[in-house]
Amino acid sequence: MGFLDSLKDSLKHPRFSEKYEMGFPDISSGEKPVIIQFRENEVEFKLHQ
Amino acid sequence: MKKIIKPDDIIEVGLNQESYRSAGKAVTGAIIGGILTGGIGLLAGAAIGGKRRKENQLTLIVNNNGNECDIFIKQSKNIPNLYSELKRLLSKQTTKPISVELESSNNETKSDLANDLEKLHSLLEKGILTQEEFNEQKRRMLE
Repeated sequence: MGFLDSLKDSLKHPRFSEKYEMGFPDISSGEKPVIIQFRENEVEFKLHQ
Repeated sequence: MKKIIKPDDIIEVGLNQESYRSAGKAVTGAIIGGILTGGIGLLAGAAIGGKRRKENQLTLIVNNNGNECDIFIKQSKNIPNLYSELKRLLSKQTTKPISVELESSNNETKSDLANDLEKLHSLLEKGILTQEEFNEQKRRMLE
């Protein structure tokens, strides 16, 4: 998927900023909220920059 | 740092709702009710003031490079939307549990065989097949 298609996909689906418990060991949880970006066929968890 | 989860990586999505009575509001209601109408008002005020509230918790279990990873999100107004989006992704899973597939294929085989045996038996009853022919065919089908 190209950059534009990826961008369109991201804009079409919701994006949340949430704090979660437990979670991925390599993505900090608790203090900082995590961006949860849904796309057509995936969901991305990302730390705020 | 980011992590991308595909539908097939989702193991479980759950939504728990806990109802509880807000103690602070119950006390406030009791005081107001008590001042206005006395003892009964105090009880009624506590009951009305302590109205049930719901707290949601979203549980997400995913496969993270072979390890199960539990994620809990609490006290967020976005939980219903998160839940519906995760369910949407869950519906896009391409892999099904092996046990379920095996069970259904076995059931199909059994029902096909049972249907064929019934058809064969009806041929015997109608006299189209002799008892010997029926036995021979049945033996072949059961092999």
